[in-house]
This record gives sequence, C-alpha cells and structure tokens, in this order.
Amino acid sequence: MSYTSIKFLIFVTVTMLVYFLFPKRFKEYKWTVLLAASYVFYLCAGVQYVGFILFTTTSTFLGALWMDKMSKTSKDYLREHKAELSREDKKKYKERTKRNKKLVVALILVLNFGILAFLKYAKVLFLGGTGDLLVVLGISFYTFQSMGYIIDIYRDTVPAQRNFFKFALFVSFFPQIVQGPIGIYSSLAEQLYKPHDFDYDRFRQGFLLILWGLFKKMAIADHAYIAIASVTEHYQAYGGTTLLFTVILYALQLYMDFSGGIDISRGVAQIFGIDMMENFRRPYFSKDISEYWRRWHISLGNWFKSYLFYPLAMSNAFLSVSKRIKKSKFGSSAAGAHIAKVLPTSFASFIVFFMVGIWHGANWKYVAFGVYNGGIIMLAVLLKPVFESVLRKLHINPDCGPYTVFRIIRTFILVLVGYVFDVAPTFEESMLTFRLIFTDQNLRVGYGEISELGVNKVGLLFLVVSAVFIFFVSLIQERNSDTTIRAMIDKKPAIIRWGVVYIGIMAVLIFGVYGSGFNAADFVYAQF
Amino acid sequence: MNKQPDKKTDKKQNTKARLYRNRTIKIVSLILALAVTVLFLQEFILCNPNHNSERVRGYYLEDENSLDVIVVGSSEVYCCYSAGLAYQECGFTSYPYATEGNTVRNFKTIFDEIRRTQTPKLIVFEINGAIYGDKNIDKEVNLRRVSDNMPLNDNKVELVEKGATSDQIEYYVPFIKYHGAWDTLYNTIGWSISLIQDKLRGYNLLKGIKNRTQIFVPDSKVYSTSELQKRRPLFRKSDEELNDFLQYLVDEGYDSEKILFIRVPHITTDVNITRYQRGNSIADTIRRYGFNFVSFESDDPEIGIDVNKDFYNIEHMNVYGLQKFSKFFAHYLQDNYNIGPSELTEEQKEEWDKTGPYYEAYVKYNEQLFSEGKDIEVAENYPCMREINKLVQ
Repeated sequence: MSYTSIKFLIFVTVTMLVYFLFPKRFKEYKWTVLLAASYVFYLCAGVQYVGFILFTTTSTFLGALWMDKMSKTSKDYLREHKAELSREDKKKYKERTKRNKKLVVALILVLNFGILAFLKYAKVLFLGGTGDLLVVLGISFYTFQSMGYIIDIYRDTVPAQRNFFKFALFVSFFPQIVQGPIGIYSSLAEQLYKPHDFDYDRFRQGFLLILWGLFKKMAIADHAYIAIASVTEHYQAYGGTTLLFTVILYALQLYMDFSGGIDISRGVAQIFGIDMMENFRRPYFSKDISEYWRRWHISLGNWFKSYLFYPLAMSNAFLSVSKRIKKSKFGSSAAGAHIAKVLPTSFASFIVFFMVGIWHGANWKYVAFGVYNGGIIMLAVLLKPVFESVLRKLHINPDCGPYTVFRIIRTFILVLVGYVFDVAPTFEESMLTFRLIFTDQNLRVGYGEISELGVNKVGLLFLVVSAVFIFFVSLIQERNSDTTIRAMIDKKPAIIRWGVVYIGIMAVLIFGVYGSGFNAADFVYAQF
Repeated sequence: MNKQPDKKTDKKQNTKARLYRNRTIKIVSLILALAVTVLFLQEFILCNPNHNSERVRGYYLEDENSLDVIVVGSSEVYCCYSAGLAYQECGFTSYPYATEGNTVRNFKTIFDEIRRTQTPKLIVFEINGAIYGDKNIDKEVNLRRVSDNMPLNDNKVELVEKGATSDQIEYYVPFIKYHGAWDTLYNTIGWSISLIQDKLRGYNLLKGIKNRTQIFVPDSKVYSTSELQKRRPLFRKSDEELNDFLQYLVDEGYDSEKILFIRVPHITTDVNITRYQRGNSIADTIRRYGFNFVSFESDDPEIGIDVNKDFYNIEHMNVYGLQKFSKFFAHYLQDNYNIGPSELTEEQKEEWDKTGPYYEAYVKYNEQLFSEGKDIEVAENYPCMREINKLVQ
C-alpha cells in the first residue's frame, strides 16, 4: 500500500476514526488500534512477509527480557551478598553478567542482521544473480530500530518492555515502516502507548505536513523520475551532457522522494499525537560532507553514530593505535599529534560509511559509494590543519559569506559525485559516466536527448521552477530554524491559511503523478 | 448564587459552539471550492480537449428531438460532411456523431444515445469503423473519444464495461487520467475556450467539421470501383461487433427505412486497397441483415470528386471535397429518404440559420490558408474561430 495511494488515504482515515472514537473507559488500550492497523498495513504487502517481522519482534523481545533478567538477577545477588563478597568477586560477577549479556545481544544481532544480509546478498553470492533475494517490506528499518532497542537494553539505558504486543507496535508502527525515520525506543515508545485525544490544531499541522510531502513526492520526485528512468533503462545510449543533467536531476528527485515520504509519515504520526524525529534538515545547504550526513537521513546517521561509530572510536583497539602513534617519533610532530588524535574517529567514520554502502545493496557501486563518502570524511578530518593553514595564508575568513557559499557549492558537487554511483546501474557504468561527463559535453546533442526523456519543455520548466521554489522554502526554514513554515503559516489570516491548503491540494491533484497516464516511482528507499 | 458560574459556562459553551460552527463553515467552503475547481478543470481544461470532444459535446448541446439526420462514423465523416451546408441546401437539421478512430464497437452505444436524445428520420452509419483491425478495436483512445464526452448513464456504463483497458474509475472521473495534461495546455487551450463558448452559447456553429488545408496528389495508380470487386474477410473482432450490432438493430425493430450504411469517398491505391476490399465484405454482411448500403467512392461521376484536388490525404477530404460531397449527400437524402425541411422552434431556427454563413466563412478561411500556402487543421477551435468570425457575413 503506497503512501500516495487512495487506499492509504482510506486506511488512515478508518484508523483515525477507530482510534479517536475508541471507548474512553478503555483508553489505556488505544494503542492496540495502532498495532492492529500496523499489522493490517503490513499484511497488505504480502502475508508471506509477516514471518520476518514476527521473528525479529519475538527474538528481540525475548532477548531483551533475558538480558533484563540477567541484569536484575545480578543486581539482586550483589545486593543480597554485599557484605560477603569482596570487591574482586563483585567485579568478576559483574564481568560474567556482562559477558553473558554480550552473548545474548550478539546472538540477537547476528540472527537479525544475518537475515537482512542473507536477503540482500544470497542471490549475488550463491545464485549468481543480482538484487535482493526477497524484498521484505521495511526490513532494514524495523531491523535497525529493534536492534537499537536491544543494544540499549544491553547498555541498561532503557527498561525492557514486558508487554509483547506493545513491543510489536514499536517494531511495526505503520507510518515509519516503509522508509523510516528509525525511532529510538526511549523517545518513541511512550508516545505510542499513551492514549491521545483528537486535537484539531495537531490534525491541521499533520495534514499540512502530509500535503507538503505529497507535493514533494508526487509532483516533483515522480516527475523527475520519468526522465531519470528513461536514462537508466538505456544508459549506454546517452552522452555526457545528458548524464550530467540526469545526476543533477537525481539530486532533486532523491531528496524530494525521500523527504516527501518522511513528511507523509511524520504528518500521519502527528495526527495520532506522535512526534517522529525530523529525518532531513536542508542537506544541500551543508558546508562539508560530514555536515551533509548530519542533515541527510538523520535517524540512520544517529543510529550508526550511537551503535557503530562510538563503540568503534572508543574501542580499545582504536585507542591503542592512537596511543602508539602518539608515543612514536612521528607522534611528537604537530602532524603526528593531530593524526594520533583524530585517527580513531576518522577511521571509524570510514568503516561506518563502508557499512552504509554495503547496507544499500549487493552491488560494487554501493561499496564504491560508501568508500567514497567515508574516504572524503576521513581525509577531511586528517587534513583539517592543512586546509586551515591554506585559508590563513590566503587571508580567507572561513566564516565569510562568499566562502560559505563556495563551501556549499563544493559540498553539493561532492555529493553529486557520490550520486553517480547511485544512478548508474553498475560500478563499471558509474566509471563510464565520470569519463563521459568530463570528455563528452555537447550542449546541442544534450538538448536533443533531454527533450526525448519523456518530460516535455513545460514539464522541465516545472521541475526548474519547483527546484527554485524548494530552494527558497528551504532558505526560509534555514534562517528560521527555531520554528517551522507551518507555524509561520498559522500566524497568517484565515484566508491565507486556507488558501495555502487549497493551493496545496490543487497542486497535488494537478501536478501529481498518478493514474494510468503515469508509472509513479515507488518510494526510492523502500527498496532498501 | 449560581448565576455567575452558569454565565461563565454558557459563555464557554457559546465560544466553543461558535468555534465549531466557523470550522465547519471553513471546511465545507474548502471542499466546495475544491470540487468546483476540479469539476471545471475536468469539464473544460484537463479533459483532453480536441475536435472530438468539441464535436461530441456539440451533439449533446443540440435540443432534444431537433435533429432529423445523424451521421455516425469516424474521421472521414467530419471531413466530408457539413451539416451547415446540408441545412443551407435542403433545410434539414443533421449532425455528425463522429470521432477519430471510431470503431464498430462504439456503434451500439452511439445508436442508443441517439435514440435516447433524438428522434431522427434517418441514422447513417459510415462503415470505416468495421474495417479496423482488432488492435484498433481494443485501443483505449478509440473508446475514450466517445465515452469521455458522453453524459453518465447506462449506455456509458455498458460501453466502459465492454471496452475499458484501465481502471474503470478513470472513465467516470477522467480527471484522474488527464490531470497530467497541464504540460500541453499551450496546445489545447484553444479547444478549452471553444468548449466553454459552445456551452455558454448552447450550441456549436460549425457542427463538427474539420479539414486540413492541404491537397494530396496520388503518386501511384488510383483504382476505379470496377477494379475493386474482390472481397477480403474482416478482422475477427470487427466482424463479431458488426454482426452483433446489425442483429441488435434488427431485434430493436429497425430497418432500411430508418438506417442507412454508407462508404464516403476515398482515394484507393495499393496502400489501402485491402480496406476497400473489406468494405465490400461489410456491404455483403449489411445487406444480409436487410439494410441498405451505398458506396459513394470517389469515381462516382454524380459527386464530381477530383482525386487530385479534393483530398488532403488518401482517406480524408479537404474543404473542396467537403463542399462537393456534402451538397451531393444532402440532396441524396432529400431525394431518397424524403428528408424535408425540419420543423424548428424560433430559437432553433435562429441557431440553424447561423450554420450557413459560418459554413461559408469556414470555406473562405480554408481558401485563404490555401492561397497563403499554409498547412493547418481548421475546425471550431478558438484560434480558427477568431479568423472565421471576421469572415462571417
């Protein structure tokens, strides 16, 4: 059930009615409506896939309870035998408990990430094919979300959920299952279980966000996709100018598709009284690649930061390498001291992005994507003093306007380079794309080819105007980051507020890609 | 003592009630505004407006029971027959219920629509719709040119159920299908204006004619009818649909007094000889069911067709051919089917009295374009009508 379909609209409306009309005397069980709706949504994708989400839910739930029991047993034992046990004994006991918990969390992680890895890589490794063995709805997102929970249980940062069905809701909550954002248990769970009454203002805000998401996805992303698909289906047929145009257009399409889908998810959740985290924060205004990844798919970045980056950067192995460099002859120099200091974090970043690349899918182009991004971040951190020195020598104020604009454009170009790996069907074709972009520029030929991509001149003009519109809206958001556009609209007179809603709905109805005249792109990130 | 708290509670309740009332008004107003906008766009702008929609909707704008002859068919019909000229020559009202690529599958629905809205003395079917191959029969666009412009009724439902190739809801809410046409509005806005003007006026002026200002000169042998006696079988679906339709006419009690089948003039060369031969088979079938079939193919001397001047391509007449054939056919109907001057109300007479001068202005405009060497499609769209209006006397 696509988020942009009439079926989904009817589904959300029915769920809303059932949820908000739920009998007041049973209000503490209102969350069961969300659970039922989430599983209905999931079953619509295919009954055969329910086994996967149930396995993850059950294994994580039981694993968490098991670890929780270990922690509790340990605390009780230590408290009861406080007087008898020596400090050494207590330390050994705690370490044994930690070791046992580590085994449990490792087992749960291996099982669930193992399933994800198997589905993504089995076809390539064992069957000689390409693509996923099975595309199970939301498997990446609910796996990351529940594995975050199990790691939090291991770390004793959250108490284990004792109600299986409540936990099942946390794993399967339907607005986020297709493409995120990946929720953190401590911030999401209580909101899910708390009964929410209908609130008109919250409904209005959620509706506006959904409308904005629909416009971005259906009107802009899906239109751009028509042209992009024409190129990717016959990649070898196009020259450098067209390929460059496609990559730039992809930057617009990917951002609109992904952020539009997230807006719809967040808007739906908001109507139910649940605030999901922002997943995009104007990423194309980033001044460097690190910042870009702090603004793009924020929840995934946070997940990797909390559960992979910090454990790696703070690990004994990495810290001991750092210490060894510091103690060496090289370490006594300024460069050596700097490298000793930043090597753990920069190398951890590289590994994180390598894993992000692998997560995208079984294709060398994704590995290249991960290595590219990780490599840039790593080099940026390692060479930071060199860049600062160059700026000083050139008397450039790094905070001045023109240099900031330069950095934003430079970062955008670096991001575009990464997108080449995404757009090209294979690694070899991504290399060919780079070669053609630099060696095969012909505006006349490009203009002719672009005119034949399935979007006519008016359609292309629409995309350009939309991109400019999105830019100005993003600029307003960037300059007013303490508030939202919706809150600003709320302060306007009623005729403007309702006018915005009217124009938004008409824009989606007219410019949206739906109906038999189009083949709308599925949400891009749903394939992951 | 209890009056103060009651006053406060009352005020609160009044405020709440006012709030709910205002919200309801705003929501209902929004829904109404959206509905009006979508309906307007669906009706006139984002509805694939073209000469087909202008012509078919023009039929439905005619007063009920005001048309004495209706000519059903495909593109040949509106290129060769002018209801305006027929009225000017013989005084009877007529209309071409014809669309591009109109197949025999649509004939039953069109026939039922005619019966529903008019009581004509004669219904004429041009047989080109039965010559098409099976792919054309199944083509969505050939069905939609009729169904998109029909009002919603049982006939439309039957037609859609018979031939829909996509989600049926799109046939009843064409906005879903055509909303994406905003990127070709520059091409269609002239037709949209025309549709609005026809609706406001209550009728169209040219009665659906359309020609191209081009003269086609055949560069290969043109067959005479005497050389084309061979029969060729119809395509399976066309054959089935034709037989079903003819049987339906018989079952409904219609005969050759009320129904006439024809073939309008074409140029027949090696390119389209098989179509002519299928036409011969169709003629046999039609006659088997007891209906009349008349071929007005181009070498009939009575019509006076010049194959080197009167066509803009091998299948369609230009304005020169239109003039000759319309005049001939109008008199043919008058003489053979006793179609006399129509009985009209004052208002209807006022409408139909305009068709002659507009027809003549249309011809003048075509000739003007010919003299300027311009190859343009001329029909009742806004850019053409702006010029034609200047020539009306």
